[in-house]
Amino acid sequence: MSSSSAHTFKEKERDLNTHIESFIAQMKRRQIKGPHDVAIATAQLLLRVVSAARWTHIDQLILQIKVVGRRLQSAQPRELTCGNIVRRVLALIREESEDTSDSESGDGANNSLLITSMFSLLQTDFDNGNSSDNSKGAKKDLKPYIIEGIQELIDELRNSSESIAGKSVEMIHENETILTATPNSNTVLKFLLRAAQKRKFTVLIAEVFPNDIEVAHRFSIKLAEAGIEATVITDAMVYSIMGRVGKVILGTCAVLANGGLLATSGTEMICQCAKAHRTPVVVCTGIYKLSPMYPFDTESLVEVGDTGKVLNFEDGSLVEKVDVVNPLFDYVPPELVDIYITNLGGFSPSFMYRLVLDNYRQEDVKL
Amino acid sequence: MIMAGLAQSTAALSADATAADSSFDIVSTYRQFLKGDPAMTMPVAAIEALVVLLSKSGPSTASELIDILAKAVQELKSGIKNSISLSAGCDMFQRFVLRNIQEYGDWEACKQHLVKNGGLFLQRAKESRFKIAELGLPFLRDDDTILIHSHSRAVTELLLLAARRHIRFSVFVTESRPTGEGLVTAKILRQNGIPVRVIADGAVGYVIQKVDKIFIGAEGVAESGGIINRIGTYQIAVLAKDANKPVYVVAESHKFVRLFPLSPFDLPDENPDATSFSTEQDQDDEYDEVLLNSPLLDFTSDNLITALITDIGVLTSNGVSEELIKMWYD
Amino acid sequence: MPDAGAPTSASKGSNKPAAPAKEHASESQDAKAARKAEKAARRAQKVTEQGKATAKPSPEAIALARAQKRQQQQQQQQGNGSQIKHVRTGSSSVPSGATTGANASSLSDGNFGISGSGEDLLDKRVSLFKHLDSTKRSGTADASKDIHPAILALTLQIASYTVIGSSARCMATLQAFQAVIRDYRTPAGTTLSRNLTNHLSKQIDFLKTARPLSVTMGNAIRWLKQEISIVSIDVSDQHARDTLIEKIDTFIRDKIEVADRVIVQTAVPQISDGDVALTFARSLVIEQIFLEAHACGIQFSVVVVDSRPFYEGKELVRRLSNAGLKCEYVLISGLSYVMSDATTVFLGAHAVMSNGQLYSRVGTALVAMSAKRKNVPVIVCCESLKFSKEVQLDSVTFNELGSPDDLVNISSGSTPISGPLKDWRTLPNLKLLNILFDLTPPEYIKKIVTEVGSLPASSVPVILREYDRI
Repeated sequence: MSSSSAHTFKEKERDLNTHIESFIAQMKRRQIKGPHDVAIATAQLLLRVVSAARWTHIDQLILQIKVVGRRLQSAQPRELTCGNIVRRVLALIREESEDTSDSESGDGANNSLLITSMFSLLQTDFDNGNSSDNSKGAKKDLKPYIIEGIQELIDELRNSSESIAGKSVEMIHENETILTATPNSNTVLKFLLRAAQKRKFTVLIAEVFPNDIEVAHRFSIKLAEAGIEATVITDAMVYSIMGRVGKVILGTCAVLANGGLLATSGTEMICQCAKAHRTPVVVCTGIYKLSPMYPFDTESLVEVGDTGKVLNFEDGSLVEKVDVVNPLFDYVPPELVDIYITNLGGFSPSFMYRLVLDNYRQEDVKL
Repeated sequence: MIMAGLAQSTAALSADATAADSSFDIVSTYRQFLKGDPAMTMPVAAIEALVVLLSKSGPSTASELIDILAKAVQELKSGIKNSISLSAGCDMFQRFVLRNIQEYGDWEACKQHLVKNGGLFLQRAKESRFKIAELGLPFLRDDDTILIHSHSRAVTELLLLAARRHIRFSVFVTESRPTGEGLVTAKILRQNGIPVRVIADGAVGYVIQKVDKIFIGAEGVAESGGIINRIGTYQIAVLAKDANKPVYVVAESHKFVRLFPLSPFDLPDENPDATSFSTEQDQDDEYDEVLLNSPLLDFTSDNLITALITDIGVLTSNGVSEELIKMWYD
Repeated sequence: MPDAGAPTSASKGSNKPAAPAKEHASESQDAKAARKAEKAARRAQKVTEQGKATAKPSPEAIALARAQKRQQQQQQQQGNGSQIKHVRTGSSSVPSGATTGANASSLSDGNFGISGSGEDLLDKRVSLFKHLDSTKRSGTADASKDIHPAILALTLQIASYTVIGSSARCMATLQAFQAVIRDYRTPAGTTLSRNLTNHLSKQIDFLKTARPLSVTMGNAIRWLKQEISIVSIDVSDQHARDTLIEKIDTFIRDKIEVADRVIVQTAVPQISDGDVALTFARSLVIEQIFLEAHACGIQFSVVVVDSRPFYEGKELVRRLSNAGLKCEYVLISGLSYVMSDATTVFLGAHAVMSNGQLYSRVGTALVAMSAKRKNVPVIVCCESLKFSKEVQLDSVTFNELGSPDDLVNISSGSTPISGPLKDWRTLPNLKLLNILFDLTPPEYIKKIVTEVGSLPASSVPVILREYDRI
């Protein structure tokens, strides 16, 4: 390689660094926010990282992505999708490298049968002969495959709410009353709008005051304009009306490995309420929101927001004396959710662990 | 050190067995293994015993090997009173052998592998407890009050690790009648500086409001994700459900067993005396004996369990059935 | 539009002191507000007498009072109202100029969207709750001269939520009845015991045009009618009136004031050092319990959960924090976040149904449910006057509707801000629902503290039977 190419490589690296820096800054300033936008931005950035990267062994690339991923994630630790996408890309890289080494050693019999992890007690280097030795990752240029993989991932992100919406007709019947409380979810909006093409139904929209009230009101207008019977209710009315609701349909910020989820504050009590009335809770989510994290400490997951929205500064004397709280999220435990509708299909919460195992590698859970 | 000890005992056992090949007794081999090392669990002892059997016998065909194994497993299961946990180990071993023979057709190599690595399994089993402890560690937080039942090696391992990592917590331990194994746990924990309060089994309801989370071990984990464990577990789980406290089962994956009980009466060990009634007065001095006649195991269904902390990850009940399905699916 | 706004904002300025919700009608400020409302009512009555025929005086007057209370927010909605009216009548009259019957009714449409709407207006009633508003409309009460000014005034105050809360409304009603009785003269050819009941019924019908009667009011009225019916025909009118007025005083004292004191004494020991007491919205007796517990030197803190659109909890938290209590304030969407810290939940009641269901400010059921799930005991504190003979199973069959326009405001402060929904009336398919109460099932309630002792929710009918025997 000539010196000029080395030069451009340096430039590229500098270029990349500015991209990363600006991404981090935007995350911190909340210019990129919301699971969907964060996911796409992360994937696009990683695409750049991979295209700019040079490696002699696949582990170097993995390490590099991990380092970048760690930086991105710490920019806004509560935007879990950022870390999810990093892990997805890592899994993708690992898979590509293993695929090639497998095909080189010419032994596909390995995956012919389901292997239970329980056998790990008995299995050893028994079938050592055909396991890949580490130098193989370097033999083939994986870059185009990885880049293709990331592009597919981006496509998946872009299309996920569409494919979720495709399942709406299976979830909503004629004349049903639906309750939703996550007006900031575009996925749910699309879901309902799509269903409205085939079904006539009523949607009750809980306001999620104070944080999402304007969004909620606009959400209701959008539904009404699409010909859906939309009724706005206050958060406090959820219990009184739940007996007449056919299904609760919610969006989410993140789905956790145990099948629980994080969503706008108020959702936990709504799900409880649905449980008390035996009303099914349907959660619409792209797989990209599924995080391999287990909610050990639910309190630390909940972010607290601007208290001025709860108690206006006009009530000045009060604000000084009273401790005002404005939680932004709720953690909803898995037993309160009936089903997840994802771009890969419908799953019960107890099955989400399997999707975690399918999409992420255990070794990447800790970035 | 334990490893060395084990290697010796295995060697001794093999020597014994070779001397009297025809009179090889799988049950007593199993018992010897259990007695030899207090850290050894029943499924692992069963596996070790079967390995010894393999090294002794000289099958000439694959099906003969399978037959020998099947016979020995049957013998073990019927020869040992409390066979649930043991059968988990036997089943897994049998399936493993079968799988490998099917896949590679080379049963001889499979047998060699198993015999060669005899001691390794115990080591692995122990390591899996460490792994569980690592996975379970984030469940413990400072100032937690924990309730545990009876004595479980996996739970104890987890708590000891947490204490070593400077997490400060206190523990209620049930006395666990009739065996009184809770006292063993209390002793170990206290020796390691963990504050413990031993309570009578009947006092669980009294303290449950003060408890943050409950950790229980398992003798066997059934296909549904429910667990078979020391008597009293079910009532603790029911109380926990009522009080909305999380119940975590801490168990090694080699305890997953292909059983699907609906009640304790479906367990193979069902104690026929447990539900017999009598008008005869029990004699006072036989008090302990009266108690010992009461059942030792009960079944706790999966809906009472928050999560299972195992060496293959933190699982929901679905995870258990998935693993078992994968093991038995042909 | 601008001409629609001007008069309202003027009236807003002049009526500001009447605005904050008052529970005790003892302060002079309240008296002033009452007088003012009385005057407005008289004026409205006169107006309708002129406008005769189809005139619906009460909603008009109520609308006026609401306009005063809701200030700017109303300004915008009336702007809307008049906009819609343009379509209908082509006239451009403004609220204060509501001098003709036609205008009065169209204005009331603007304010009472849920109730009767014009043919060419969109039906904005939520179908599930269509059965609820009919009662309100039927009370067309042509506000005959028989209606006592005190009743007129009270009707306005209740309609504008100036007098809010079940006990407060009951007390104010009884006090208004005292005035009615004081001015009552038995017509010739009849007896007091027969005629006064009739006379009162007319007053009550008029009161109902503001809001449905609370259970406390119903219970008090039943008791009063009973008292009237047993007045002997031999006693003089004057003497009978004095006796009744005195009896009402005793009733208020025994059933509300003394009862509250007993409840406070019973409930305070439920709070101990280090406790976190959680409550929802605002109940007078709960407030007294907290203040008393604080005065006793118990070190505890209070979490007040509040909700739109009344923000009743704000007043509670203000009073508690002024007394030096450590308070936390959260809106109901943040309920799960605060519930994990709570040790006891204290709830007030609007009524307790005889099947043990608690009928209270909408949102109460959510709080009780969350508490139950987190294993926090729920204690309901209320006077036995609030026990109802009725049974109820859900919050839909019987409830009360508030104005849907109250939901348009998206501000939590005292200055309303109209959000994206300000033109909601023009959009087909879009509805706003504002119900005032919900029903909490008895399994969420650990105990009910009343002046006759603490009891489980299932024992409500026992107390009711005891009452009947006396």
